[in-house]
Amino acid sequence: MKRFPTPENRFGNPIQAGKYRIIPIEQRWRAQSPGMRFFAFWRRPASVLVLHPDGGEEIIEIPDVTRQAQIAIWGLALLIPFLIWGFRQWQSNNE
Amino acid sequence: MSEEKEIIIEDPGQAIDMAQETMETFIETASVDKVYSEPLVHEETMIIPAAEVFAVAGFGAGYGASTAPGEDESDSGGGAGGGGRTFARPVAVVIADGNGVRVEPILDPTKIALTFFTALGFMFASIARMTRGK
Repeated sequence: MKRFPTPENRFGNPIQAGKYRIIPIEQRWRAQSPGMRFFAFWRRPASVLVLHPDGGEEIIEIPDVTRQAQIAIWGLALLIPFLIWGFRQWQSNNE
Repeated sequence: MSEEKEIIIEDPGQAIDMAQETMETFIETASVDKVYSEPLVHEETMIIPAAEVFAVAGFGAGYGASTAPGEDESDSGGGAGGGGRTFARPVAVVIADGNGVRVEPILDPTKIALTFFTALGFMFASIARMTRGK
């Protein structure tokens, strides 16, 4: 078992949806602490591979909009105080 | 009974190793189908729900022998325990119909609202600290 978090993509069983064949792909992260006997895993849907009846292939990414929104909110929450701090520094230097 | 004790004394980590092996087997056997649920079919439309799964588990074991004077040295005890938790959250649905295959993301307003208010609190606390420090 790997001790450091490592991503790994895994393919699921193909699903026949009408004329399309869908192969789900998941991304899996695993981590384990050596001494504390603790481990965690995180599995998320990464994308689906769509096989068209004409033989074409298409990979459709699965976006996690909730996570993207959370990252954006935290990014702003970190950036705004930093900008205010920078503005106050600039203001005090000009006084 | 005494034979059981001997096993624990010779290899105190046996219980924890067994627990770890069980958990590893659990992780390995958990297929992709746990992230992608069973497809739901309605007329010509097929919907495959997709969710993220996060799981944590921990194990611990302890062993102790009697060292008090006059007490029997064979007095000893050991134990092991573990626990874990799994979280799951819907991320998207894969929709296949006559027009093709598409992915519709799922927005979780509760999580976003919680993040927003937590981040807002953090932001005001940071600004207040900067103001006090001036």
